[in-house]
Amino acid sequence: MRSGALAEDDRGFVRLPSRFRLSFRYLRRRAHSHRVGLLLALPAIAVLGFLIAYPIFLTFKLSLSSVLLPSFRAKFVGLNNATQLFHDPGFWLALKNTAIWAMAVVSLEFVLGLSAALVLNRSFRGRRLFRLLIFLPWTVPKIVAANTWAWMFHGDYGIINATLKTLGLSSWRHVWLGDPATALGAVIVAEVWQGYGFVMLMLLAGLQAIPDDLLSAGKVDGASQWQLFRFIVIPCLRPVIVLVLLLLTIQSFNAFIMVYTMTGGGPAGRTEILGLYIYRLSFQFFRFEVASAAGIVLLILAFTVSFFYMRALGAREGGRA
Amino acid sequence: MRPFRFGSLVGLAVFVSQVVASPATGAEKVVKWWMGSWWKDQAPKVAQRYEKEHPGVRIAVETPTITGYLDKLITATLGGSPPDLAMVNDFMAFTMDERNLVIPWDGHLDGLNTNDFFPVAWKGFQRKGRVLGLPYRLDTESVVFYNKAMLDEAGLKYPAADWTYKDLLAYAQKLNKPPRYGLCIAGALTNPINISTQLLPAMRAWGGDVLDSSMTKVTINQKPAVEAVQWWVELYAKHKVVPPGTLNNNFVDCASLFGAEQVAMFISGPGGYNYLDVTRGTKDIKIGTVPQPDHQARVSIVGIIVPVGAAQPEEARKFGKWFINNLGELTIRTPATKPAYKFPPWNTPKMAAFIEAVGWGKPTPPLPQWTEMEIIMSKEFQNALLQAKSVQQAMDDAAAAMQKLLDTKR
Repeated sequence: MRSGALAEDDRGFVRLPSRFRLSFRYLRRRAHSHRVGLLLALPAIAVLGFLIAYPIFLTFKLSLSSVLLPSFRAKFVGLNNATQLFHDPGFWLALKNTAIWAMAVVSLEFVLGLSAALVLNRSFRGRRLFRLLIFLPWTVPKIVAANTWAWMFHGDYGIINATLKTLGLSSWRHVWLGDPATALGAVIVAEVWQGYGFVMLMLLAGLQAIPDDLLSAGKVDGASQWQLFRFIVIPCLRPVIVLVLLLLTIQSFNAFIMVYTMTGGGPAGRTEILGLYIYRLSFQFFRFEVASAAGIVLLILAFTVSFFYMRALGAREGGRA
Repeated sequence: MRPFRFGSLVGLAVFVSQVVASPATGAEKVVKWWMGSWWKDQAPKVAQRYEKEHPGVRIAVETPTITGYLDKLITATLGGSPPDLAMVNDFMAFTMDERNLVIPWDGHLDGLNTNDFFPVAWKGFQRKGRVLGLPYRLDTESVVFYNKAMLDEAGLKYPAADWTYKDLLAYAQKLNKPPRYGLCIAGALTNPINISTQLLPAMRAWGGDVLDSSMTKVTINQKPAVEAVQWWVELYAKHKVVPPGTLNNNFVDCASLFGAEQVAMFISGPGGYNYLDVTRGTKDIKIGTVPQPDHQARVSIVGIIVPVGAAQPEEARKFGKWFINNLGELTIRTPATKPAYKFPPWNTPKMAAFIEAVGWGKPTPPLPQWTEMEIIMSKEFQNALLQAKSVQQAMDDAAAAMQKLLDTKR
């Protein structure tokens, strides 16, 4: 028998070399080596677990308690805080505004970011400059961007109205941030302006990771540009897309600086979103317990959305496997 | 010889380090002092002077931006590492006190002549008979700034303190030449305190108020208060003597419009001068000031508090009292003590209208719910401006929400 050739046992089955056999000793050794790895990773897992789990636990506990500060001595009050929250019409208005805000911000940032990424993935002169220009707003501190846009949209001295007047379009001048019909839209424009550069960057990285061979093969098979996009680019980008959408959605749920600075939630609460509502409850009204209940609602919302995103990604990856 | 030499050097080094280090670190007490970001140039000078007069104490100054100032203060206090002394507004102090986050000054007032304070400031920073902080700043935002040249052009004499709301409307109408408007008022939710500041004195001028004298019943929907709000709303909706962007405007925006000569009058506090220094640029605008009409004004008070958990409360109090006793020379905002007005710029004519208005000013009600009530009031004022609700309906809704807050056990 040639050295290295596989032997057969008495029933004619191939006998694996001993190093491949799943002996009890082997399994124990393997478990032991895992245990070592686990032990080494334990401090990091503990710190991470503490940093993630403890604040959530504390928020959950606060949402069910009446708390004596500064000792944080808690008295269990059941769902009292949640009841207070759900009886506040301001909460439902904020929830509705958050839904509109999240849908608009996520979809606009994604569409603009994807469009920019597709354009900037082609080679042309000045491509780097355009990439930089589109990404630049993302690097501006949010508070600065918010103030700048508030000035631009200002009804009396904003540059947008001034430009419309210069162009002879005085009738289009408007109190953008003071009209319930346009205020939320104006703040969304500012938020999207600042955020879509990040989407572009992430998707561009994804686009550049698509192997040229795949696209070339598609072209050889006679696929149109749309078919290349639909059947090669989008499937290859899917993990990045899901990640980007997830991040955008969570960010949009947590957002508040842009609204706080540009409108303060006005006019008459028409732009108040959950982030601002919770901020006010916590740091202006000091109603930490009700704010925690609102925070839990936000957490459940974010978790539900994340779950569906992850499921969409998982199902796709599972299908491909 | 070598070991001996090495040992000597080590010994000498240890000795020198001990001698040099001991006075600076061992005995030094560090007082953490927080002020708003507008104090970033002045606060270190104040600290330096105190340190010079009080060796062994170091004042560690921090000047966080006002956006998020309260969040940082609360987070630091709840986290167990608050500043030893912090600047807060009256309404912030009341809310913090409700949650047991302030150490009152009672029993620690020796070396301080409390009669030096304007009574409205001294009483205005107390809650349930306790002194929550030492007031150092007393502002009234109830002063009307006017452009003298525009009044001259319209043939109007400069208003005096005994003018009425009827006069104010007449002035605004005569000065109104769109796109230049007669008056700028606050209507934006970006700073709700601006809205309540202009409404409250008017409600009192009409004989009403937000709350009854026991502060247990909301009266904002009663006839006098509603009429006062109606007057403000009509400036925008009926007389159109205020800019179309009123729902965007707070006092700072109004100062910008005044600086650009797009409005003839606006309402503000002494801070109005600071805004105008920036907004008028090189324009030589002759500015006049007069208290808001009918001898009614609202005052706001800023004080220094010792948060619960302060590491050096005793040293902080000593420093706080020293600061108050030297306020005229040290402060950069309108002082809350009378002796401070001997010093410039507080003794100059441009401060006269503010001091006059302070004389009849009323402070913020010492209620922990006040900030929330102010936002409710401002939102409903916006609803009335938008004509989404009648003034009566808006004030009824405000009253219901505010009363619920007052009645809810916290």
